[in-house]
Amino acid sequence: MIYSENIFVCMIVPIIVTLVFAKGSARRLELNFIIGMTACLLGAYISGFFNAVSGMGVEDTAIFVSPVVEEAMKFLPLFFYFYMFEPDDDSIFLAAVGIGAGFASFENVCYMVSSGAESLSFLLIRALAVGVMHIVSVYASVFGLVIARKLKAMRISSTVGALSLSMLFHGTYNLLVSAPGVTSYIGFAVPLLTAVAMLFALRRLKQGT
Amino acid sequence: MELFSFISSIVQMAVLAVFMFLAIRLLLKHTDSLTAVFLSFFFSLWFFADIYWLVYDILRPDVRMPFAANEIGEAGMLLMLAAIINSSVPHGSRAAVKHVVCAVIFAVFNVILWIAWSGEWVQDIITGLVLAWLLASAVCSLKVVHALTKTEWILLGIYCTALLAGQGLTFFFEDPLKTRIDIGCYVLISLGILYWLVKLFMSYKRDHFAKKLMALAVTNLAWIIVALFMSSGLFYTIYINCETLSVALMYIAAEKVVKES
Repeated sequence: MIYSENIFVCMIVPIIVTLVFAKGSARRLELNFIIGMTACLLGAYISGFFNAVSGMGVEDTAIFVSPVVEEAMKFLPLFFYFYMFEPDDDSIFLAAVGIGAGFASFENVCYMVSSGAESLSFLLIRALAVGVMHIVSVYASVFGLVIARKLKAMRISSTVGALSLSMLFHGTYNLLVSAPGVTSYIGFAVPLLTAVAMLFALRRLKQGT
Repeated sequence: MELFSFISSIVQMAVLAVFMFLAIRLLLKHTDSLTAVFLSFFFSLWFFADIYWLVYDILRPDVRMPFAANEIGEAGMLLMLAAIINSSVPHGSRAAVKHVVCAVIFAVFNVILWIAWSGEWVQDIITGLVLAWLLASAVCSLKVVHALTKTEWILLGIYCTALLAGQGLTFFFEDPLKTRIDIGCYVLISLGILYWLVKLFMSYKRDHFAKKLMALAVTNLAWIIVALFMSSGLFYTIYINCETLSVALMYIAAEKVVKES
């Protein structure tokens, strides 16, 4: 057992202090980073609840339930921000990146505390894969919101479609890395390859518009 | 048999990967097309759902999968298929009220049968809700483009009723009668798939307009998905291959719709 609330407090205090000095988009990024860490903590509580209720076991809950809960937890603040404040596309994507990075950072720290931090090479691979995976999945779900606004039609379909895609992407990653060996290496590579493909597609999209 | 099933799944994944790439390329060329957006989401969801299923099968063979992200992905996939047809063949909410009611009843009975087979309430109801939406969208589009004659609609109703009755009867009889009813159901399902595929091919051959092709292509795919939910074993694998073929046919129709819009 780890005291994740204590870790959470220790991590957010310095960021809260820097919020006083930061301005503009830097401040928004920091705020979203904190929201991402909070979403991670709340997501862990909800997954823990499902584990207790269903009796699936910690490992199965992490593989099958956590992706759904975590993506929903990351998506909810963005959904609120999107519909309450109607930010422009750049602001919502910046918020998504902040929440994804905050979520991944807090998850990585908790993982290191619970599993040890001896192997730097493994931690580097894991940190990179998890970090990119959380950012890619939340980016994909925000993409649905932005498309819904741009095309002004069938908002529910595009939002739900994008959110389910991010849940499935996250679920596939968790399943792949759950077993040691070849599948885990493929799992670590999937977010990186997807990120490269997404960057390429976005660049093409910007060139086209 | 297992090898045939495995090869069919791999072939489908490869085909999906190609069409996912093509759909994203289509979206990059036509950024203002709703159909292209939904098509990209649809193929991406399907591709990842297939990967998930395959990885699970490799890592945990013979263990029943609990409610997982791929079920949500599959529900999202069906929703995207409905969104594809709704965006490419727009229709009013009262386009085909009677037909929609029949489609929803068909979906409800399907859900009852799934629950009776698997005992999984939550995922079956979630998938059933989306399936009802998909079938309702498909019949609306068929009605709007006048893809079926009145006789065909009546025959479709009788056919669906007979199929549901046959599937339901398998719960009340023991072998060998149960197996015979089961085989009869498979014959009915296969005839249904064959009918939609032939109708779609004929439509391509006669060079019908894009919206009609789209309505028929999505209905064909939706029907095969329903058939897959009803089958197992060898028939399931055969239907997977029909589904793979239908993916290609649907993409061609969708591309035509996007380019014409």
